[in-house]
Amino acid sequence: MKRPSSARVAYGDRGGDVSLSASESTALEYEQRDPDVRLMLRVRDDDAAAFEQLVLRHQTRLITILEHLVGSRHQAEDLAQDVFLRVYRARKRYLPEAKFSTWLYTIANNVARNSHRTLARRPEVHLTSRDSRGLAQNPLEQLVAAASGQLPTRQLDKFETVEIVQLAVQSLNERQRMAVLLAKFEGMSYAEIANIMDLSPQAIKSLLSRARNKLREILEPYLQHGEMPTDGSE
Amino acid sequence: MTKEKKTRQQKLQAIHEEIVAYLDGELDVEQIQRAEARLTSHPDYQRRLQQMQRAWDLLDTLPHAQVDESFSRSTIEMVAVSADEELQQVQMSAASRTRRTWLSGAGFTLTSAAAGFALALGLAPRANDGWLRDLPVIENVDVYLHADSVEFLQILHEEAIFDDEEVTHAG
Repeated sequence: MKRPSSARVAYGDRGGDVSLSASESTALEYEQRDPDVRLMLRVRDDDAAAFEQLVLRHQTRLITILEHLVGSRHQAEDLAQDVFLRVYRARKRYLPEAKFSTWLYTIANNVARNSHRTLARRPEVHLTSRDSRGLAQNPLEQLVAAASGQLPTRQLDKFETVEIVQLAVQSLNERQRMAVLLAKFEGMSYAEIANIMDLSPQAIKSLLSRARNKLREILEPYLQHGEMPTDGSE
Repeated sequence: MTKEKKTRQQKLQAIHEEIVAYLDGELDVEQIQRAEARLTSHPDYQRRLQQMQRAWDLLDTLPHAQVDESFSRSTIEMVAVSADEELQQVQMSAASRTRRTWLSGAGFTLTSAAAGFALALGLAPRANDGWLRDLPVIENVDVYLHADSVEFLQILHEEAIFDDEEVTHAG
């Protein structure tokens, strides 16, 4: 494997001293620590097998996040393919300045945001996609009604739980949703999410706090109701 | 919104931020101690933390995508097509560069040849130069034949005695 240019050995200002610059040291550190960075460096050197490995390693997680982000499996797959294509096209410019997943999700965030903008210009695309599953036309209203006990008492099965959690996630705005999904599914720190979303860690802290409080407001009544399924009284 | 209400909301937001950051392991040691002190002394704070955690845990029920082989295969194929296009573009760009090099080379050669020709034409002695220089003599050769000598003609020329007549004659 060719040595990446970003991790090459550089000579310091003092004659004869061999040292690494900060960015080169960072690159070397990520190369040693992150197997995906090593794969990506091979992709940079036109290793097709390494690219395939990267796709296989990340496709499930990426599609999962994108699906919860955009609310459609088909669209999530299209976006994921777009993300991988961009990764491949950008391979020659790749420098390991962060974990590979940070770079991957930065691209994913941009792709999803662009897609959201495109869809926003075509409002006719936003049809209620969950009608076929028997939920009311305004799912959140039904969610609140169910949680507050206005609907007939019934055992909420796992499918319904998933449905309600999905609706709660969909009720978040796009940025809150992305931050929540990265924190939940990728276990990313505020600093990493901030890096991906081009925001400060403090902004992410506020964003996640608001998002999680909103989830709490929606899900807590449901949880309370779920804890007493046989009660029936308000 | 009244100022009091706004201040209360800001305070609540700060508490929520602290709770969430505590649950996410994003607080430093001092902040953790402060949060844990509140946990033991404020039941509301503890209840809110538990609610936040429960709602967060419920997100674990969200399904994870099941990705079959066809996705990775079609992705790799799509990238392979893109790589082919990229290669073709590079080749076309190289061919175009070669063509440009050839054309500019040919242009340079032609320009150099033209410049060389013009230079040679300017510097080389021309065959008609002598005839052109002697044209006034040739034109007046019949007059000059009547003169006795060349010296006499030179004296006439220097003194410009017949200049006006020559001009008139020539005109």
